[in-house]
Amino acid sequence: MASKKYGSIARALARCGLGATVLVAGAVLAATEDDRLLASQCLGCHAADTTGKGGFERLSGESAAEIAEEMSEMRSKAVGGNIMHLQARGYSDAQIQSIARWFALNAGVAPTNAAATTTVSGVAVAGTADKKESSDDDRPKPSRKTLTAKQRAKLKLLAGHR
Amino acid sequence: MTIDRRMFLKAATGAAGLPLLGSVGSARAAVASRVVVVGGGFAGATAAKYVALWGGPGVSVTLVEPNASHVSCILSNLVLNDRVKYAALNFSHARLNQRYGIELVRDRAVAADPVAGKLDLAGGGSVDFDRLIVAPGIGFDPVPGLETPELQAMVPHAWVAGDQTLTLRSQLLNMRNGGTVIMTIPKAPYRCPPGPYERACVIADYLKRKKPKSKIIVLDANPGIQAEVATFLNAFNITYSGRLTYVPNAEVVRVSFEGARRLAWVRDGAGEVSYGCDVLNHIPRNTAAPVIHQLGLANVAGRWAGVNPLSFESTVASGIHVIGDAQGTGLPKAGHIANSEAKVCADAVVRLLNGWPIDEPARMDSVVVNSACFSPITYDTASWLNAVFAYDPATGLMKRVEPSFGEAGTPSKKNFEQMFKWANRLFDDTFA
Repeated sequence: MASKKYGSIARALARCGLGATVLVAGAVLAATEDDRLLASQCLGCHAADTTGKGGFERLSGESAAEIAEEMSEMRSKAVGGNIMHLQARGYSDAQIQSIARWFALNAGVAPTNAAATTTVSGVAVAGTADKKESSDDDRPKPSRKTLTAKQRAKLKLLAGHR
Repeated sequence: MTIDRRMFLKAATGAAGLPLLGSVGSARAAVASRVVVVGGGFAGATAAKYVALWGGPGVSVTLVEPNASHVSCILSNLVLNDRVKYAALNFSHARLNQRYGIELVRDRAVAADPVAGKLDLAGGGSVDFDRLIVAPGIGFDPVPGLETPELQAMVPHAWVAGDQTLTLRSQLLNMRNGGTVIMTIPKAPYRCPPGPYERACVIADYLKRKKPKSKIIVLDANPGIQAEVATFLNAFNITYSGRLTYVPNAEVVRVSFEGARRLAWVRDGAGEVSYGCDVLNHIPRNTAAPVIHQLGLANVAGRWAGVNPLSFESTVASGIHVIGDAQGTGLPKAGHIANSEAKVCADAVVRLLNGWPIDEPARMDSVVVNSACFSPITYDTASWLNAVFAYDPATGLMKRVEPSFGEAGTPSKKNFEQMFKWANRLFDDTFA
């Protein structure tokens, strides 16, 4: 098992090429294909970089620790009012670390081609009922200017999941 | 088909343009590998895109699909009560070509030889593959009384979004105020577990607002509501009380006509009873799309394709993978989870092409798919349903992670807004 695991990491590093690697305390950490596969499952609901469109809050610009902490917090919250509180319960601590690692290392990359700025046109609701603000969200929204970067990031992550 | 230099370069450009998704382990296969995908819906389009992204320049991807675009079933019930424009649900495959270099072949698959790696097309040509991913969606059991295409068009299922969605819309629009609508729900498993109940609500909403003297009868072949039980019981018994009648254990065995009226016949002891209506939306029992049966892959109850969940590779034909509603793992059949399965399949295909294992412990622990969906309940409220499924090495099956399973506490306007966020992101992840 140990040698298999070591082989897996070595292979992942070898495959990384110009991909994401980061030097922390002398050790090279990298997101593996396993991390990538798990993280890709978030992209059905969340855009990750500037090429993606729509969905709940964008998963970019956060550290792995922040993402992992937020997902772990969601697991302990009441269910029924927020689909993400249930979704977060589907993943183990190790899987959350894996997802967080991938987004921290890969999200937020600027698009490098013009095509990346065009996406599918969004489907909008027809009729008139959508024009008024939803009445069930009366929580105060603090001014962004007074918040730290970390607070802003956190607010952003929670914004789509009230 | 051969891999020419132009196509190779196109594929390389497509992948290089997206450093984010392609950044880990762009495959460096010794020779170009050919992946062919059949079907351009949520499963097939996602698989084509992610194989191209993750496979890198060493892998060419071809999408075989008779239509130039896909009409989304997701949100299509909202065409029936005028909350979404039909045209907005049409997603072109052109971006898959422009952005990821995926070759588009407008044709229909008719036969596959997994040993020779050759897929025959209805148009007479063929394409070569190293791995084939089949994502054709659903087909239907024949319905006695609806043998001809003309009769079938008079009783639309609209369970594959397209012309029939518009036919059903137009039948509802032209029905007299005071008319009766019947919709029928097939035996599980069928496409989209909450979908028929959602449709019943949407039609009831339309009748309530536009044809207030009209009623809807829901004939369910199952013994009870199959998804979001609390939500739909409340909708049927309270929100649409007096307008909607729900009949469980009512499997429609044939359909007949009496002038302009349609009769849905349900078994009753040794005999049959009929339910008459002005508009009949009969959803026949689902099975995998015809191509799965033609390829001999329907080895689960003679209806669905058995696959290994680690790769979605067929249990009867190596080198052929089946994803989406046609596969028979027991995972629910729906667009969101089809997109999710496609990523597991794409990852496996890239690993297999490179000769890497797919059953290392860390990899098995990464085989997780999710099913999230929103269902409209009224004109401006919606509910949702969530479940995560993970690979279970002990059984070799996908297993629901129980704490992740649940439905919205109450339908709300907030959920209705979030439904569009959810769908638009899924459309983007799949088709763009």
